[in-house]
Amino acid sequence: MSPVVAYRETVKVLADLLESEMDLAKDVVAVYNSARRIPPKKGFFIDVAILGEAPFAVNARPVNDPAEPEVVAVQTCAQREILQIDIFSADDSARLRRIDMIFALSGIAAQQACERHAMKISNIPQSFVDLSGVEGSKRLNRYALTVTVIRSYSKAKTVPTFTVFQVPPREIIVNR
Amino acid sequence: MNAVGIVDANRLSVQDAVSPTPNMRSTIMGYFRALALGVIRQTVVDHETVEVVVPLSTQGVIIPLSAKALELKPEGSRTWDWRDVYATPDLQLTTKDVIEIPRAGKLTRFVVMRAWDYTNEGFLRYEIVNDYT
Repeated sequence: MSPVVAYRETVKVLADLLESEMDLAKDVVAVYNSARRIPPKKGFFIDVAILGEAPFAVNARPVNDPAEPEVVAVQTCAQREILQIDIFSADDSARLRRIDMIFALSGIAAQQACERHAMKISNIPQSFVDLSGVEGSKRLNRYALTVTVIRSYSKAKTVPTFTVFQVPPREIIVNR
Repeated sequence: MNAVGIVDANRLSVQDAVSPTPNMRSTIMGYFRALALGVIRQTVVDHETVEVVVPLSTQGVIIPLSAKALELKPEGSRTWDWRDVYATPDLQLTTKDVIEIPRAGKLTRFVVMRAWDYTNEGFLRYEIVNDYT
């Protein structure tokens, strides 16, 4: 058994959905804070960012896996994640395509992604606000969609138990 | 408009007011030498920014800023490592572009702070500064 169960980050799951459902090029959707320079081309870009997370259930339990000589400890964590998706452009394309983001996160593909990654995207986004403002010599169209995701993570790792005696024999004190 | 004789300066268009300069390409090539640079380009891979160093071979020269040009810099930035790059017009860079140049035996990143387009005169000029970030 692999020591760590790999998972795809929620921001990337949402980025995949936006890219595929909105038929976008590979350089349009990016995870926020990756020090990206916006390419000098027309059209809109999308950033997916983590606003905050609130774990509400964490536990660890031993599992007996017959294939493993040791006990396998399985840890799970369920949390509410709040993500912000910004769509912005120097032209009007961000304004024209902004509603597509809601459809991308509520369609059949989104439901399939949720089942694949043990998560649930809220049916209705928390907010969708206008953040347009001056950017250099242009007025940028920018709209921020805030969505809530409930997601469960798990990790499995073998842990040493009494099948392996930790104390060297010479240190064992035996009553005579 | 085409100015004939002496006319008031405010009658000249900007196009006419700019005096033509000679093409320096054949002359300046005598000062240039082979330059091997790396231009940092960003691509998005799996929604993450990935930097790729694109090797670029051109002709040019990299020199320190003159004392006068350095004095015009804000006080705090005079000790930064500023350079002037003169190169053939195939070195197409824009401000904020990051390039790698060999310095003291190792590659050092510089960011382009200013660009002068002297393509018609046969060369390009860039002012670069050591990319401390």
